[in-house]
Amino acid sequence: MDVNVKVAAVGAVSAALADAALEVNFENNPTYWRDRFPYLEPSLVLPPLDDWLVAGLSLFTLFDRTRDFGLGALLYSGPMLAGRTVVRAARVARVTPAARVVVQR
Amino acid sequence: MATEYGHAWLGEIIRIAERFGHTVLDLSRDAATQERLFTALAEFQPDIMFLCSHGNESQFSGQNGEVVFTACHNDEVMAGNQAYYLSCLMGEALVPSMVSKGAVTVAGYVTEFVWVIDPAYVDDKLADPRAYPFMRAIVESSGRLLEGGSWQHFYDTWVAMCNMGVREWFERDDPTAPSIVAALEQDRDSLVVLGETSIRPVQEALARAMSPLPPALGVTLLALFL
Repeated sequence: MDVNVKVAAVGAVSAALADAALEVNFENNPTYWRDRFPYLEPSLVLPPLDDWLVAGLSLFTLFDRTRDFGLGALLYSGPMLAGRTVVRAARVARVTPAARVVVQR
Repeated sequence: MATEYGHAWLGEIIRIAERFGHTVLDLSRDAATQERLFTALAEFQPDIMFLCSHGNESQFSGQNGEVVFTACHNDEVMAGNQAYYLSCLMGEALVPSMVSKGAVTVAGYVTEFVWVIDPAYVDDKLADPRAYPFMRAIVESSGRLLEGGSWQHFYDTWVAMCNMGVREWFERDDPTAPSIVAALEQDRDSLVVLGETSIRPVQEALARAMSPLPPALGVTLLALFL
């Protein structure tokens, strides 16, 4: 399979920048964005929706003309999803078994 | 009004706790009494507590002004427990007294806890943009504890979130911006965490068991690439 490495690199960097922009936006206002689109979290272990959107868009660009770009984007977003799943699983494991919390208000 | 905002903010903390699967005992409004709290301490045996109400240097109150804790009177019931008090002035005497009686870690404020509100949002307090930086600092720092962080993490997040709010409002074109910045700086410097700051209130037994896994996985993948 012939792959234009430069185009693939542009695809990978583009996906990384899109991911970074979404992450920075969340970190600036976590309380506001938590559980809002595109940061919905159906599972504590699987990454939130914004990460899947980056991966989905990468997959979407795997058309004929943008195939190499999409391949590069997938090379970024695939391991990104895998890595974040591992990190989140470790975090959930840290707080399991669940704690007892009293809130008086 | 003051505790209404705290009530809404602690509701967000409950939401985060429940997302992690923690069991939450919500002593809200009429349930926010000394009797209910002391019963919870004895029978529910919480890993951590978040409490919001009026307070002063030596007292913490519950619903309708009932005094719940008084320094050197009944604060020994906090022995062995960890808590964050969103309440004015308690850090002066009551928090140190609780720790001296055996409380593991207690956080509170040495001055009055101050914040700014937009009266247009009294019916939707979580959407109040002026109160938001205060809520964010409280909710995110508490969230660190609920996700397994230590009290040091809690304190560092608190300072970072207050500083973020100061940066955001420092040059904002809003007549209340100077008050918001001043209040954030006061609250930031007012929080004290006494007792064991390295301890993590939430169980981490499985984390220790699992902790070698992510680095091992990373090294394996790296070796495969090479």
